[in-house]
Amino acid sequence: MKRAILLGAGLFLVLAFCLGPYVWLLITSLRPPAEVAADPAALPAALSLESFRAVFSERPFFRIVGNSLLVAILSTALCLAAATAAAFALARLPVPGNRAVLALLLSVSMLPPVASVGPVYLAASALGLRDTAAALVMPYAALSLPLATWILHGFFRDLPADLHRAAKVDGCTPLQALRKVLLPPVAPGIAAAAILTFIFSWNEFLFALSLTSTDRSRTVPVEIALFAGVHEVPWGEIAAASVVATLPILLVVAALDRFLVRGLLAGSGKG
Amino acid sequence: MTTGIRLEGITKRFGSAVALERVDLEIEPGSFTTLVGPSGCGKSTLLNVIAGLEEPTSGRVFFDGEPAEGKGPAERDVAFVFQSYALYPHLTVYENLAFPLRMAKRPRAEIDARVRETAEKLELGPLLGRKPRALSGGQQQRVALGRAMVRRPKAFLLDEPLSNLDATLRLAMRAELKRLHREIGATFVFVTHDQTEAMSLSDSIAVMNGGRILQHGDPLGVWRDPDDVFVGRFIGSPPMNVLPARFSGREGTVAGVRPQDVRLAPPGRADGHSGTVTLVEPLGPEFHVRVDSGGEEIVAVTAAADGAPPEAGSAVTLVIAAGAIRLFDEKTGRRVV
Amino acid sequence: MSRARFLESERRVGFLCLAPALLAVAAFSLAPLAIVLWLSLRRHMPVFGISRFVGLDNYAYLVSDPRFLSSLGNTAYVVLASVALELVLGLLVALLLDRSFSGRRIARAAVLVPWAFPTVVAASAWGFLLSPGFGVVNRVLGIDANWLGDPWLAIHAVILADVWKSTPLAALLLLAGLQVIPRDLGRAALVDGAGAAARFFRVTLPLLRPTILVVVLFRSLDAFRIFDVVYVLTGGGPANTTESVSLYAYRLYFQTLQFGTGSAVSIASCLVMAAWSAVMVGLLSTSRRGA
Repeated sequence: MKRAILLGAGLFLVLAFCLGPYVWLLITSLRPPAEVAADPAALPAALSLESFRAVFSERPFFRIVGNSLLVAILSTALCLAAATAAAFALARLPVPGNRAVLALLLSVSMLPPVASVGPVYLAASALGLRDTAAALVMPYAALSLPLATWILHGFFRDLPADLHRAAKVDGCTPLQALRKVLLPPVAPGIAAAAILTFIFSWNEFLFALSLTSTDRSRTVPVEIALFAGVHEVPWGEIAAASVVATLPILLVVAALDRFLVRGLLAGSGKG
Repeated sequence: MTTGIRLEGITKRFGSAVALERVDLEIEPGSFTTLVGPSGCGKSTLLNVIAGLEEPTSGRVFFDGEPAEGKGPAERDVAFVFQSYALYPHLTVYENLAFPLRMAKRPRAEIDARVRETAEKLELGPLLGRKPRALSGGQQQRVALGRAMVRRPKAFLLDEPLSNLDATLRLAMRAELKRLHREIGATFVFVTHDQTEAMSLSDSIAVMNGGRILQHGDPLGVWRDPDDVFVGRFIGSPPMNVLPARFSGREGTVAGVRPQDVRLAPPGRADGHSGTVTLVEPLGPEFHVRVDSGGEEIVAVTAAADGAPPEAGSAVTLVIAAGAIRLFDEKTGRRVV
Repeated sequence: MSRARFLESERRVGFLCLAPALLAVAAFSLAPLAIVLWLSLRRHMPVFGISRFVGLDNYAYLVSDPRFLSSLGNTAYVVLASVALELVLGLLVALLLDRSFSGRRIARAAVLVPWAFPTVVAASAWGFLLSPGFGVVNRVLGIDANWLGDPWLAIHAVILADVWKSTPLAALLLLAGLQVIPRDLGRAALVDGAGAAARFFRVTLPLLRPTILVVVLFRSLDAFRIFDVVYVLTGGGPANTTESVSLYAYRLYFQTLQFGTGSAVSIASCLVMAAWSAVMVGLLSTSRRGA
């Protein structure tokens, strides 16, 4: 019995630590801005949606969220298409050196993004793609490829070998086999990889910071970072923007946590 | 060193599932007692309760008359051999054997002496430096035994320790276990689903089903005089025949007859039941003969020494001595006199 | 068709399937790396039209550049402290979540929240909580620490935000590692007289070693690349005392437009990470053989 109380207390502390800062953001976003400016650390006396209103009307936040959504969805789609094909080839087709390719993908994923941002910036400038959403979609898809391929490779490898053989016997070309027979059981893996890619694209900061300059293509993380004014920091608006920025993520984590966990574990070699 | 174990009214619930229901058991000190029954009958749970690895929902456990509540397995001075052996994979055989003694904070010289003595007894000497994954199944099993023995506990609790071994090894280890029991003299409580194992090893067996002990006694006695249809069919191979009232001669009862007690006679006799042989299984020293008699399938065992039994398709008379028939209540399955 | 031709056609399809992924990786990871390597050997400032070969001059500069060395030191300190804290906290959380209880799935999802949020939001939130004067942390602790203005405190603020964000992943990996350990081992140890502490240190921890090494490898490489948190929380300040290697490279690229020197910093950090990985992978393979 005493043990259960100890565990319960420990769990409560952990949850408080994990969710506390976010809950505080939420509370702050719901307070009237004047109150926030006056005493940011007090408990709310009144509730108001003024901060949210300010975020959307005084800044082009709708546009920014739209940019983020566009970039995240497109890059996820592209990444998953390429990763599924690549994982299928590495796991199920007689490609020479498939283990080397996987090792290469893994090592490449360890490179610091700052190492690639320079040339990508120069190339984007040269191509006139600076400050466009397109400039972000391709790098994001490419950066998420190794992890997505690794996850899907695991799923393809775990399929019974006879499934593919049966499809061959029934007259399928490799791509037909992939589409009709192998893809459906691998769907959870695709979901897991898609979630991770989406979260990565939504949250990515360095490339977005470097490749965008106006609200034409700016994404949510960069926008939030730029909120700080010269003289004062509008904490209420930052909080409101953060709440909006994290809403899709929260929904994903709440509804699809099982896929998320599977993806994370597979991506680190434990799945 | 040994101990008597008494269980009083042990009930164990997991949520809404009842694993053990008011189990009473008295285990004699120094005996080899086997808990035997089909999967899910609760025997492993009962062993865990004795060990202190599970707390009963109600009921009490006594060691030599002392109540055991609140005491962990180490305090109860029992050793446990797991079906999976549960050897510490990161420790060598020596360190696996030494582990319980280290926990008891024995002096190093004593630990060394006892580990080597136990290793010697179980022929593990040359393996002391190896890790478990470099051992064969049989060797791992001996290390698991050794880890229990090195503590010199008052009681050994063994949870299906032989189930993961192949047939020949299992037979060899069975003999080993029996010999060890004689040598050590501690109380052994053994769990298995294999009734042959139970019969050959034990001083007393407790047949379990559905969370209850149906019968407890010496193996031969349980075999000869089952208290329950289930016990009769579970113990003994091939299983006891269970025949309807016309064989038992009493309404509301069924007759239990061991295949060994069914004799085959030429057809046409008046003092038996007529039937047709459907299948003959030659097993070497004996034959198992399946006979259809009025829609009932009856199994008889004949010795090879008596010559070949009638072929399939032949008519026979089944003769059963009155003294070989055990009567059981049709509904409850309990023995009626 | 014959078996050989069939295999060949399968192989062709295989190459086709691999092509997009390999092209993307080549274009956005390998080619940039090669270009950065090339750039690191040049003085390259496109805005001024300067681009000439200077050999290893950039690297020679870095070796005695106090700002580079301090960024290296800052980053190393953050990596050490973060990974150590994440390991300990992650282990505690994993142990808590290792038992089944109702609502465990919700707890596990809740624990993932810090990880799932944009680092920028995490940094903003902690910046808010640690603000001098009105920050909740100061209020609750009853002190008036200048978290973001004092160099010693600022780097620990960075560590705090990073630990908050990254512990969930470490916890998740450690939890997976815990769940692979057979339950019977704990019970055997209990029967052998081991108390909870002995069971943890003598049975659980040794068997968790490969997982711990994997966590340390992934997290240390990740932490070395730290950028978002520093940029948003401290901006590298006060006076570059929390500047990380990645932030320094970024500044060289986009503030002073010295692409050559920035590239040298990038290559240097890649080399450090490669060396560290080699050490960790070596440790991992010996531990796998041993346990």
